[in-house]
Amino acid sequence: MVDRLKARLWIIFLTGALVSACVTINQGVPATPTEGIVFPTIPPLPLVTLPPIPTLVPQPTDTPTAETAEPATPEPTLAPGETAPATPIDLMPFLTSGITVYNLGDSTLYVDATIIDTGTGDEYPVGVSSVEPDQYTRQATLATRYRIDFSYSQDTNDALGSCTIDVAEADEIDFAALPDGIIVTRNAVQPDDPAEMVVATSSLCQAGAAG
Amino acid sequence: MMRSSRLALIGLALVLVGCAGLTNDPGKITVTNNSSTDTVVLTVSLADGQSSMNLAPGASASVRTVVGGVYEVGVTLAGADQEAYVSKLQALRDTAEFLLGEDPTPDQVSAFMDQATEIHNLIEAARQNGVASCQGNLALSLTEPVSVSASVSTSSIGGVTTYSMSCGSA
Repeated sequence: MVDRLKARLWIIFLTGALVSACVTINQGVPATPTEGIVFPTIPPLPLVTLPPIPTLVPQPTDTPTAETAEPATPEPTLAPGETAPATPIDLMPFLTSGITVYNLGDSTLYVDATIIDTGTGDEYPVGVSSVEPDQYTRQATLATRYRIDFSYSQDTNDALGSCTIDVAEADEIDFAALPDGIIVTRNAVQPDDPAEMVVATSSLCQAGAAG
Repeated sequence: MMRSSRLALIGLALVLVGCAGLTNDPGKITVTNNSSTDTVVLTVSLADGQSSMNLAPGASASVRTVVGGVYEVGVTLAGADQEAYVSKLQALRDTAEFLLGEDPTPDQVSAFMDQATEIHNLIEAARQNGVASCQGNLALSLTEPVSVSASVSTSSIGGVTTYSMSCGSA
């Protein structure tokens, strides 16, 4: 339980650091409370010992110090005002869940995933994947709310169906698509009501719906 | 606790989507069956996913990744095993059609779950004893999507099929 709490706090802390770094990188456009995103206030946290924070983004500096340099490695030289390149974030530790899609149809299936902010309803497109007939593919994902649109046509992204689903940590969500519709299961749990396995009628796919 | 977790995820999502330059663009691995005669079942394994595909001669399929790194493409099923896999997929499709139709029964629900598990287990077992495989590396970029190609070709000598694999890197 303590480890789990620490892990969550660590994620919160890291996320804050990342957001701060993001604002730092985009120095050309000063961030003000009136533009862009307003971050929610995180409630006070209990006192715990957090692991050391790695340097995620090299800060711009004209005079690199020996503190961050290997003795035998020459320091990169940055011109005045030049910004050091960003270091990509390792997403792997955050991808704790999985979404699998079987295409049981006879043509290419297009799967369009969007992250939905449960607080504001804002949407963040993740991207479109194509799944060929007789292909199944599992993608490790963040635990969050998604809207997943399915279509056998590139022109209309939700022609076959759409599922807004809350994916929890360690969840494994399976979809099986056919031209007649889509089957959905969570963690291979067999529902009592067969309608719970059909995207069009399953409560799994109505996350955030009124009522 | 739930609130803290939710806020963290929202923050992370905002960073992932709204702050270009901190996360790599997604990458894509496209696999092609260059054989003119043989259908093959290939499995692509990545750090953040796995995909199995039944590719007819000349057909291609792709897999998306958000972390990149080393990937492996393997011929997992061939010959009679490949035919068994296809027939299991067909059975799964038939059961799924019942479930999507009128008045599906609990038995069909149960059958669907069993068939899906069977297919998954078949691929997993075959992946451990793959017929042929290759590895490549996909180094993602902060500024643009990166794609690599992999392929398999076959040749038959004395009635024995051999596989030649190629995995690109970028």
